[in-house]
Amino acid sequence: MQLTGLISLMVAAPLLGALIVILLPGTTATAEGSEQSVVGGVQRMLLCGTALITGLLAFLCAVGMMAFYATHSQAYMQFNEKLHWIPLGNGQWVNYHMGIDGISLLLTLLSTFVISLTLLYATRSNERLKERLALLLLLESALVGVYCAQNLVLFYLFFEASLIPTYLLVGMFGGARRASAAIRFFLYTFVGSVLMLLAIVALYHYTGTFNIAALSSSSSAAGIALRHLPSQALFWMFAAFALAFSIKTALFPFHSWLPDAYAEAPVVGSVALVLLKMGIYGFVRIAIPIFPQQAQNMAPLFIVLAVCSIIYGSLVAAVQTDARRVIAFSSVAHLGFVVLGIFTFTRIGMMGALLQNFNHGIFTPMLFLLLGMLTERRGSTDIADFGGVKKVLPMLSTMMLIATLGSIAVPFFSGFAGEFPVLLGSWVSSISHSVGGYWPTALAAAGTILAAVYMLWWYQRIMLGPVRFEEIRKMPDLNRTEWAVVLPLACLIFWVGLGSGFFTRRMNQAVNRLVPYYREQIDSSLPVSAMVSDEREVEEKQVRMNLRNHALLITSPDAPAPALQGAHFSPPPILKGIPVRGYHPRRMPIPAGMGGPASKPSGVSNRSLPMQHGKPGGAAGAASHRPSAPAHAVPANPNAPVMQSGAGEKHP
Amino acid sequence: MLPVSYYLILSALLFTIGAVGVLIKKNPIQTFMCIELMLNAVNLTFIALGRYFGQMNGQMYVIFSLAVAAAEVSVGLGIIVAIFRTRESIVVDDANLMKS
Amino acid sequence: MTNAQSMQAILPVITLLITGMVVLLGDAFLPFWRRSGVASGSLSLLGIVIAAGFALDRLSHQPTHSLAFHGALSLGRFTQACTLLLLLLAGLAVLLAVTYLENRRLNRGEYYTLVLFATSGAILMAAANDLIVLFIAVEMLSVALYVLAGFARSEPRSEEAALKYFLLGAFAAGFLLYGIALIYGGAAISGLGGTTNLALLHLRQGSVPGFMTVAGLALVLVGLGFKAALVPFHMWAPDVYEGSPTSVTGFMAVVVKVGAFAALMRLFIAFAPAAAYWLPAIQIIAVLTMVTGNLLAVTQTNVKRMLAYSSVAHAGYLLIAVAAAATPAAQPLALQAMVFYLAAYGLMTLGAFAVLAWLSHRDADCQTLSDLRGLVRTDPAAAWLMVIFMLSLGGIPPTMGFIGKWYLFTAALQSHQLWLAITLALVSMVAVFYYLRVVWTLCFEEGSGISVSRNTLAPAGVQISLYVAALLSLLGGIAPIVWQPLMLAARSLGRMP
Repeated sequence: MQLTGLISLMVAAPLLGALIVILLPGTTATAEGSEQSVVGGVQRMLLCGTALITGLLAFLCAVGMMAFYATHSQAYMQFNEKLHWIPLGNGQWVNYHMGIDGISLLLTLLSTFVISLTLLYATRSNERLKERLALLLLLESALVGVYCAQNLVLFYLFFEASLIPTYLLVGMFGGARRASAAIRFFLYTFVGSVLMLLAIVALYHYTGTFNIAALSSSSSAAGIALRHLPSQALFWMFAAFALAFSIKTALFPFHSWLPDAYAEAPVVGSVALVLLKMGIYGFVRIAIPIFPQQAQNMAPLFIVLAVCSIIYGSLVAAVQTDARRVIAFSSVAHLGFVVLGIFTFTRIGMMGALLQNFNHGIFTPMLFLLLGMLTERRGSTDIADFGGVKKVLPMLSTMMLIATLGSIAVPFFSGFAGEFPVLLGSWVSSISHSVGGYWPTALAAAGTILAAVYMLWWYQRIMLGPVRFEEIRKMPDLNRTEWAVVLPLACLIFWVGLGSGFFTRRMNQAVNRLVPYYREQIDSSLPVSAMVSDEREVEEKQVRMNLRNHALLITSPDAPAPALQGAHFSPPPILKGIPVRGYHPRRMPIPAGMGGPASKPSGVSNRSLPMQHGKPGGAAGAASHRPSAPAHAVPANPNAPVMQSGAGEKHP
Repeated sequence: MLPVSYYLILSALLFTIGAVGVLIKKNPIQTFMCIELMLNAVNLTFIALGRYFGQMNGQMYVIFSLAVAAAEVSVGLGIIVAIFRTRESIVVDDANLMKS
Repeated sequence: MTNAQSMQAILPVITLLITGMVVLLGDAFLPFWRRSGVASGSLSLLGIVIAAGFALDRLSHQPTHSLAFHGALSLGRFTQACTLLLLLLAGLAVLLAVTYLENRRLNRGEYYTLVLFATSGAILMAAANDLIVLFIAVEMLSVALYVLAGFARSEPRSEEAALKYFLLGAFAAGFLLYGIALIYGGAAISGLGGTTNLALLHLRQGSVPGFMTVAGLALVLVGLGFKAALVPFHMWAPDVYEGSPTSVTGFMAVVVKVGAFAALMRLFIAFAPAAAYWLPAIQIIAVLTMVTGNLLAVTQTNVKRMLAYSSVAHAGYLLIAVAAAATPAAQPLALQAMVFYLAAYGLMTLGAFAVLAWLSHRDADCQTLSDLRGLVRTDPAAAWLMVIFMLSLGGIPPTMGFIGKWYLFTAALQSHQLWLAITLALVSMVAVFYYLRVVWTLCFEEGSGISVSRNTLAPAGVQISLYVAALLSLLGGIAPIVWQPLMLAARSLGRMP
């Protein structure tokens, strides 16, 4: 069921809420003109009520979309809305086009969910309640708009529109150095965005459209026009987009705005900043689909930068003395993981990256919220001022532990479900094309260990050990609102950790579109190939199994003896009529006995399945790695026309 | 009649003299006189060209120009008088209250 | 058109002139009029509304182009669009002035007369099809503004502003007139004499203009460039903007730009076949203006001076549209972009000055950044409105300034002038810095700026104008379609009669 207008409702509801909150009376000025900002009674209820209702309404819309999302539909976007918006004359328009697919859905859910919880948390604050609520609602609206926009101008508009509430949140309520943090954040991201604006208009100039779907598809007029451009022009346009998104993602070396902004912002500001996943989304929605060739060419660079992010973020986080900065730098590292996963260009890596993106948006806000609660009670963010909190606040420390373990990627927690596929994808892609062989994967894995080091050390210094200060003994444990804020996040961490398929199911189609299939040829000798659980792969495996079983049946005593070297071998009847590629009987080493299960599937799948897409290059590509396959590669079976050295000859 | 280029060159010279005078003079009255010189140089151009083309246009434009110049004079002198009343000095360089 | 039809077509201007004279006479001879603070303002507003009614009526029934008064004025749809825009801005300026003059004790009726005369001058600038009419219109506008700049007679700054504006303005008028004379001479073809009629000039244009024509064009550009505050003719702007009373500055900053750019657009479209001769100059001036305006604004602590330099920068942006109009294929979009950006610029600049005017009172004109410190706590409405205008000036979504900049980008790219688009993007980055500084001072700084305990007399005027300007800016940014009738009307200049 396609409910049109749901997306617009999701964008408009927080906006309306923000407007109402702004117009409601919020502060009462006293005689001296000082800000008297304690809002009481009915006023407060109205403010908080409006904010919560509209924020939750957006979340409910997102949940509704998730419920009605057709997971297996081949449609590019669902819940489409399209209206005329900016007139260009001559009957041309820039359209207000919104739509959602699996990736957007997940991010929208994340944004609305976390912001709803943050609104709940913000209702407890006393200072400038109105502005906080209004800015959070505006941010929610802008974020949902970014993730649903299908038109480049609309995307840019929401992209920029999210800057103002964040800037104001960081600057208005933050710590001592909030001036420079806010300005730096704004200017850094704005610079990137203006370059992106140029690239957008240049795209329009060359292709005549702003529609993302049209630009991403290779068969539309716009797509064809793009392919014909000189690669220089395409490179610069991709570079402009990539720069803007890299700055937004705080990829090394464009990360310097992030630690300051996170650390100086108030709690709600930090949470807001964590939700700025637009950089990742931009890569996945715009930069890679519209410029696939350039993206793949530049993938090694991004992998290097991502790994640098991971290592640098982890190392610097380990030496911080301010509790919030540790989390801030760990964010750099986590986002580095996400970028690594995306630029592996494997399905598993991408899935893992997008899931890790989602996870990061869960445990980092949770950490910040808990830290905020601790800071509020203690009055300081310095790690040295804490110690032994667990004895006094067992509940809070348990929640903190859950969040910490989630971010470290311990199995059963969400981080694992995200980081492990990323490492897997990185390993797989390193075999086929990435830079530096196994080093990226090794360093990224080292980053995981480092994360464990600094996060656990951080937890230990704050929570464990003897109670060093008397003030700590007086701190109250979580109250109701705080429970209500933190418990859903904790549940979500477990949910994702134990059953992440629920969340990633809907992303299948989108990720499939992003990953060019011929890169997907996993080397069959790796155990990996048996582990992928995507439905199509399951199907594939089934077919392979069937064929192998048939082949096994055929090698009965009636068949020619396989032990003779150079014996002529005719393919089993079931495989007749299917072009046999890469098979030359003479060159095949014939072992005594059956081949193991692994070799069969690879050989058969390479040839026979319609998913081949007619890409002999892929076969050659994968085949060329055969000689380097470790010895556990099963001995070739005479019945398995393995893609061996004959690969070079039998190209149809 | 003389070749029209003579008139045009003369008026160009007068215009240049006026323009340089505006840039050099310190007294606003003198500056304004130079501006009037510029405007009258243009009037000369108009008349010469009008005569050369045998059209009435040139003379018509001069009438317009004179009227406008007269309006400008009245306003300008009024401003200068107002300043003089409060300041007792009309040397333009003294008008430096605002950092330029 | 017959003479009667011409007079009917020019009704908006006639209305404004008559209203101006009635206000002047009423204020001079009727004591009750002078005592009431708002009589002049209300009557002038009424005159503006009636004039706007006439213009709207004309816009809806208008053929694409029509020359009035034997070719002296072109009163087609582009002119009506500019007229409506000018009347909107003038109306907002008058509302603003009602409050400001009352608070600064400057309330004299001739202010409104001068504003109305200046507006009619600007309308004629947009309508002028003959260069001499353009000159007369420019002078109408300028002379009124010279007096207005010096309106705060007791303040030395104001007088100084008036003097500087007058001297430099008359200087530029001389250049303008000489340029017209040279174009007149250069347009002669054998048998026919010269002409200053833009339509005839367009018809007579080959792609190789004579020396006199090029020299004339250059001088006219100098003259009009002065009015529009293009570099290197911008030196008067900071001082005059800073010294004049704030409501005058607001009016001056917007109305003159609309008139000047409408005139520039007409002029250069008339000479479009000879684009190879003037386009490089326009491009260089545009780049210089954008860069200089923005760079000089960065160091300013006086908000009015900063807005003056920002006006200079915006003039550079608008010149991109003029440059884009050189390419016939991009002309309609260039016209549309220019009118939309003029509307956006007008609303946001007038709004910014209106906020400053609202905060001024008898003893203190709100001028410097420190006056605005921490305004969000003491006067949140003014502060948030200023934030909206600053964001619009910086071109940050979802305001009209963003959509306007985007239109300019498109126009520049459609006419294949990539460097202008790149420069626009780069200077926008610089510009955001100083606009954000104002936002910063308003919202985040401690301490208090201008005295809170002011008692604004007749606040309704400035409040109405502020809310209308802010609303239109946001609406234009979210749904530009509301401005579409204006933009569609603007596209029809291209068809020269």
